[in-house]
Amino acid sequence: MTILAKHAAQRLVYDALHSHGVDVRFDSVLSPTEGMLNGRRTILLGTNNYLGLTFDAACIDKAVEATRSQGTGTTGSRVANGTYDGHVKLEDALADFYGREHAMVFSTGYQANLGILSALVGRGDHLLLDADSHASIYDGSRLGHGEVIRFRHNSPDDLYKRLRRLSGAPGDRLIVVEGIYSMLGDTAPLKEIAAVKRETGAYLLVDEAHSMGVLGEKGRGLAEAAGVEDDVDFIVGTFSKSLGSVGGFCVSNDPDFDVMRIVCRPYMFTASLPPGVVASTLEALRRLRREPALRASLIRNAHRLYHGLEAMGFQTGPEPNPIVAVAMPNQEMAVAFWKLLLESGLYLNLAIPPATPSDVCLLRTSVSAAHTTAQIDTALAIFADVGERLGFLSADKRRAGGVA
Amino acid sequence: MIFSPGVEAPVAKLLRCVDLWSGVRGLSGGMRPIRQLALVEDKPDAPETVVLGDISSIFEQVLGHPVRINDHTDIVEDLGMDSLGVMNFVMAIEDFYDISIPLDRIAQIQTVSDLIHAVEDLRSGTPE
Repeated sequence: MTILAKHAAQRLVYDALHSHGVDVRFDSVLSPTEGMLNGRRTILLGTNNYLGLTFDAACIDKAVEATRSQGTGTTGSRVANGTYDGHVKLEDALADFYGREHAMVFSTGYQANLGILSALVGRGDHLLLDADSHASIYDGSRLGHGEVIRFRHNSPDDLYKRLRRLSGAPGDRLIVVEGIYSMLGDTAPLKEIAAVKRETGAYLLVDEAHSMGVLGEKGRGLAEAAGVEDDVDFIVGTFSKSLGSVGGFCVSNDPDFDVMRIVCRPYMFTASLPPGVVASTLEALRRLRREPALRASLIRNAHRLYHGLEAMGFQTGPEPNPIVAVAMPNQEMAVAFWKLLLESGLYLNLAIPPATPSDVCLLRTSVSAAHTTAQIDTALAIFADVGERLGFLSADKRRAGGVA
Repeated sequence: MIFSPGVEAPVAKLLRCVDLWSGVRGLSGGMRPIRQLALVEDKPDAPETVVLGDISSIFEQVLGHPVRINDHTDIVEDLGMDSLGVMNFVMAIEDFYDISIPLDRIAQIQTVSDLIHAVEDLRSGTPE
């Protein structure tokens, strides 16, 4: 018996997954879309690298330049010695991009949710979370001491009902939803949620982690695409997806916004982002704004993969977004399918409960603007081949148009 | 592999307490004294009995088969509910009684009697 014996059940799962060989280590990464895995050149179709900017020459140059001139790290908190000119410039650029008064940069996206949620919702307040929210939202909700209520995934009606039950109770209400949900790639019904927000006097926060650079004419995310940016009080996002680095942020017009710099503990009690990361992120944001063609290729690739898989008879998520999830009937099939894909030179994410909604097992793909049409077609061909080898795509199932 | 859920309960069926946040109270932790309530057979007219009957039929709707429950029934352990089942069950209870059970309250619920107390408290507006 060790102190970790309390995790015996999880240990069994970990060992089982390890024995299946599903813990992946890349020998090397060659580009945003290719890496070496077990000595084999592999297409990367599960990276969140939506705009494919991780190897962008200008971003790398900026990172190298900043690292040479300012060092590898700040060795300190934003509220002590860790605020450099670059951090402020990045915050200004984000505020400008979103057309908001204020922006705050965090060292990770996870910490952005932890910090913002815990600062906005205190004892006596009410936090209303979509049931399928990301772990960082659930964890942030625990840090703030507010009352946490889940509403049914993407159900404005259920949200409304729960806000109605709170009528008369003191305290602020904050609704939290995501632009694109990371498992199935579905978007929130934001217009309807914004209407509920207006009617009930709640605040609204949208986590655009997977939708920044993906949705909206300007790439600002779901709030822009749904035309309800004025109703969204706080936007949270990350640099580790479309912007190809690491870090998180929040933007808002709240006049008291800056007080969060001394009440957000996940902002204060951690080292700030290294100058190289700040510099490459700033450049990536410039690229996102100046090159709408990146978003156009991303969407084209997403549609090609989504409709290709659908035509073969795979059961995909509800919308053709850059996250394309393929449902598997059970964990054994999911693991077998995933391994064969990998052996054929295609990497994607194996997602199993409880990470997934409704206890479903998923093969989760995410496309990049950097994928070529040929790479998407190769991925589709590998899916077809493995599907047939495993007897997964029988003629009957194809005719039925689904596999579940 | 992805393994970083909002509802973290790596092996749902091994969860003993209904803890939709961490799940890690699992095997040894999370136990708490069980409050004794009257069984159905003992006090058919007590208000708890009415609630127990309603809860029993909600269980049956969610699980799709008849169940026999009493106050000591452990919701996860005895009824074999996984984390999704628990979530659906809690949502059904919330709809039936027109309440929202906050997550910290759900985390404290292990037995049917815990659930009854939580529902009664929330219906009467008592915070804890």
